[in-house]
Amino acid sequence: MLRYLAQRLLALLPTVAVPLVLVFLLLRLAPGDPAAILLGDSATPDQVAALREQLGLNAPLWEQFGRFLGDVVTLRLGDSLFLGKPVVDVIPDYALVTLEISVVALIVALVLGIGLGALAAFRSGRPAGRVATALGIIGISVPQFVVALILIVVFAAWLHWFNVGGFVPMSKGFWPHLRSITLPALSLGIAESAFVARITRGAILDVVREPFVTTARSLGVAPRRIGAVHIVRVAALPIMTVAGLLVASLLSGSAVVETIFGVPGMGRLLLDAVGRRDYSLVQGIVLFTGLFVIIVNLLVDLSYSVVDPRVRLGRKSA
Amino acid sequence: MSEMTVPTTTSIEAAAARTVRPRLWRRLLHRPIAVVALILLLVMAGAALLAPVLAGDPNAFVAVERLRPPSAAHIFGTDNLGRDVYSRTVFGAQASLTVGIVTAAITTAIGVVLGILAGMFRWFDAIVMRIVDGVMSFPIIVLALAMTAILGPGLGTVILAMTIVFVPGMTRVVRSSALVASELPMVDSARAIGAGSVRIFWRYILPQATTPVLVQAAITFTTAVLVESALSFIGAGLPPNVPSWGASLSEARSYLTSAVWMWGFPGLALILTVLAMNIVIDNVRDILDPRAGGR
Repeated sequence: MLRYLAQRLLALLPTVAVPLVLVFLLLRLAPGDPAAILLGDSATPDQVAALREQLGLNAPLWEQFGRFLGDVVTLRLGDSLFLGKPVVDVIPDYALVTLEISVVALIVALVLGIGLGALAAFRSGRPAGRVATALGIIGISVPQFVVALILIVVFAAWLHWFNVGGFVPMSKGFWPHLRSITLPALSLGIAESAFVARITRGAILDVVREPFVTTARSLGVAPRRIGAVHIVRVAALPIMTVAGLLVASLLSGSAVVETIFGVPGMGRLLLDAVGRRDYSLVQGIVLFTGLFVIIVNLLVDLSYSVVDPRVRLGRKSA
Repeated sequence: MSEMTVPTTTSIEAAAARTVRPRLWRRLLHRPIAVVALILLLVMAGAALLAPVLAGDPNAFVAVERLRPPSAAHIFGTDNLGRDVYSRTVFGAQASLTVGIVTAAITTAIGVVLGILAGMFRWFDAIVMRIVDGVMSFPIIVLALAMTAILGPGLGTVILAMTIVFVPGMTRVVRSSALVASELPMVDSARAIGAGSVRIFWRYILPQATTPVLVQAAITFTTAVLVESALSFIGAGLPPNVPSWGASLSEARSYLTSAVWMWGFPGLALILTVLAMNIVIDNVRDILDPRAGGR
């Protein structure tokens, strides 16, 4: 079990390593002096030189890389040059908001998606199934921000159930807070549910053809019971794999949705950091995002090695 | 190498390629929904190619004609700056399809080379597939934004970031179909008559991967169109002077209910393009593997 975990961790390491190395290289190799950009137009050459020294930009590339690796491993990510605070102190508050929205969105996506996918599979060929299948393919073609705009029109502009742009932190009360993150989380969740629905439908249709289903049917097990107990349990594995993939998609989408709804999450922070060319902060966010994806994927791996012992014994196909 | 035996194997391969592809097309054209989707894609491609003929200057504005609803003069209405929404939607097709096609082409070229190398050499496979699995699960917009911070915004940055994230998927597809194809008897016979590995890959294995590669390229295209629109929407995509569907939707955010045409038309164009491509992909997959049940 430990060996399996270690193997998975090693396999997931590039998720954080490759983007980090890329950011490091691009930052050093791209035209323009980071120190000059950071200080703005009014800086004197002396000030720029001093900052270069302070940031270690004068050292050879390999030495900078060594120092960079050391800093990353020990989480010494430097100060955000615009917020004037250590990056490690800035990110968690924003990351928590994104995490919260992502989790709610994931639940929405799974509940809606599995429901729709199961409907499409079990009623396949009939009107209800056709509608569900069509909804699935339309759903994956509509970008998250269009879903968000439609939700704003319906729930904020017409029904006045929610406000747009008024993020309320948890400290100002749980219910107002929940209300302020409902639309962002719904936008992400609804957009992703179509993807889950398609995977669910495929997984169920695959299992339906398995011999054990025929056996159960011939033994007189009620169709409803076969569907609920036998098929869904086996089909759960591919659906769980999707949950791991969804995290990357949710984090991508949260950058967009947080911008629309004015939510102070990691995506918004990144967009601001990009606008100000706050490199330490950008690097820090890339690192946190990679770690986030790795942790979720490890959890997914762990959960299906618990559900299906074959996985643990290394019979997982490539 | 014996010249006598070579024609036999090549003609079998050619025959195989000849029979599978036209049948796929014919069967695709027998499905009404797929035909509608293909026509839609043709319309979008036509709009992109003929944009300067079909529509006026997308950046021209008449300040007194701001936020006008659709009329004879402006069939899609005007936006908050008094620009013609129809022109901007047509030129938006140009931007979106260009990004989609260029990204898909670069991704396919790199992915095919990496996939073949991974299929040929064990050690290369081990290294590349590790990296590939990792990069695939990194959120693309986060990567694109990080790269924008460094390289500055623009078409090149957007395409580069997307290529980095999409190449792994293509590499996987090429690698797995190469592995499957290398089990085929004709590969054994080619090896038996002394064909080298480069020739075997080029003539016998790569043709087997053509359809999966095309499907993956189409998927790359739709994803690229969606990601570009999202990046342009948050202002980190194409430059502001290039009309883009994503940017149009973003500009309409303050006029969601008062000027529905401002975001309705570009939004519809975006969704229909992606939907049409997805329908074609689904139908092709369904024809290739009826067992899969149109996933």
